[in-house]
Amino acid sequence: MQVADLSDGVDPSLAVNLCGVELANPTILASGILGTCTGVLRRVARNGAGAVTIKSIGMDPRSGHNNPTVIAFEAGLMNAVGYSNPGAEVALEQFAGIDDVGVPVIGSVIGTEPDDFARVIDIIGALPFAAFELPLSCPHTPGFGLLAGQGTPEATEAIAKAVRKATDKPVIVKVSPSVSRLGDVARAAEAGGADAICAVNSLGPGMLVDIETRQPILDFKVGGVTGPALRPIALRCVYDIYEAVKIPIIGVGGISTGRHAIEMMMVGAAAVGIGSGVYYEGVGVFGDVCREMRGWMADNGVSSLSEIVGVAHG
Amino acid sequence: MVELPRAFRVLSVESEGEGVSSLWLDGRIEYAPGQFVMVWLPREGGKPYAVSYREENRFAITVKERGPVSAMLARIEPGTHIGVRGPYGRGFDLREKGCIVAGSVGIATVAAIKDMYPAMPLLIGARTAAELMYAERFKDMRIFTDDGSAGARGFPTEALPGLLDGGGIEVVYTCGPEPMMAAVFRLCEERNIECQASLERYMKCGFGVCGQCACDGLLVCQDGPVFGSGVLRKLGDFGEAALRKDGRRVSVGEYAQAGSVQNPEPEDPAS
Repeated sequence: MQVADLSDGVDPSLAVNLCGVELANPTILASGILGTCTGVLRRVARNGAGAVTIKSIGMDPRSGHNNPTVIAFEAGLMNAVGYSNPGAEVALEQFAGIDDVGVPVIGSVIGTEPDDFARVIDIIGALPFAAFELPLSCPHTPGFGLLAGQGTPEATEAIAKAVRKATDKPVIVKVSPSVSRLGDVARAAEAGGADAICAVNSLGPGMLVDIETRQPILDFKVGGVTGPALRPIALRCVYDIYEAVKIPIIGVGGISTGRHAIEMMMVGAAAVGIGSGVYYEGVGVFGDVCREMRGWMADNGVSSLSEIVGVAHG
Repeated sequence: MVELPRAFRVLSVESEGEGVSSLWLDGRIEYAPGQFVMVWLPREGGKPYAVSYREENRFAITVKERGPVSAMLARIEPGTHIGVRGPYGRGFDLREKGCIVAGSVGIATVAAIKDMYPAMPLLIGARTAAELMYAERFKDMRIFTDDGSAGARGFPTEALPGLLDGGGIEVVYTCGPEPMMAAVFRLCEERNIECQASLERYMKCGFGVCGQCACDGLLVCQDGPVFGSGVLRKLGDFGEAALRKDGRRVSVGEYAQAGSVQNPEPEDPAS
């Protein structure tokens, strides 16, 4: 990496404004990685994340699936955690300290019916979440996401509408890479009042088998694929969504370097989620990605990220 | 980088005491005392365990029957294959001039230290004589039982001050119920003696991504399971709070009861 020559007048800024939320940099901790309590969220913030997303909360507590729940194979991670969470009432207490985290905190909310999502927000909305993210796209939990038919344009619009009524905060809809009409799903979220799209949730589901015990390794047998295997899919999804909607996109899927982040922004992401990158590079990945981005920007005369968002489109 | 189980054949299951057995596995594993492995019983579940015995061509985990998975592991048929991922985590910083305080099945975690330093004093607390483990393995252990049915009646922490005040001990290694370890740590702090505690938390991934084992901002699977005095001093959740399987933060007392046969984890609604 060349040392940046700032005398050229290029002072790269990573600051982004996402739906009115000011982020010092575009890296966001993805939901489902680490975000189980405020102590860990604070640690991620200290390690350079521009924002953090909590682990998804629903109305009722869930233990989630039995172990094995997360494994890593040669091209990524595979998980079937199953939306374990303490439920909205407990989450209200457990995340009470989020204003100490130091960066904006996004509340991820799940539900089985459109009204569930709104009910969760009615409860945890008392906390200073910067935005709410609705994953409508989990491939491996019965009752939620794809297994509950939430990945259709119709369901997406209904859920976005229900949540739109429940909060003035920015509403982010997180979509699946596995749905057939992704552009329509994104447009439905936009029509329902969503302020941003998060693309994408995990891929698949997939399966891995241990040949000595002759059993699928995850206890749920199948799981969502993330990490490097997901990255080209996520890039293509963000590219397609960018053509379909006007609202900003958080691009997520296998990002672990500054170059990956810039690539994702070039296909249309205004900010980037990092999840599996924590496995590959450690919790310091956020600061490392930012340093690399600034270095690339300085080398290429880019002073603001708005100069590169979507430039891969003709 | 992969996190996939290696299959090992169960050679035998040996009783270590009431409700406790060691599963001997055919093969070798790299392992530093204080680390853990994620054990997978296909179709049943997976849990973290210490490697409690390590020999040339076989090794063992010691399982206390508590909940559904440990109960099935204890009844496993020799010849069955189970999966082992890891080893994971940060182990003990080993030194000769130490002593060990263990409680209940925590002795399985510190056994590797005693194997390495056979002369190191080992204080063990068990509820009753029937539940006492490794009495033949470590004949010079100082035994304490709640009911006095073996050794002295009381807790190993009662003997620790005398042992430390006698001099010659630079570090205390401890593993057992968290209130016991917190008491050991306090006694060490009072005497400016280093303490290394091996913590236990509910785990899912075991390799630093899911956040299930969070203890304040640290992950027991990666930053621990062994934590030294410098960290323990600042670790507010040590001796205080742990996350249940659903991620709810509860007292260590409530956590210790959760997931047992008497107090099973609630089933998620079938959808």
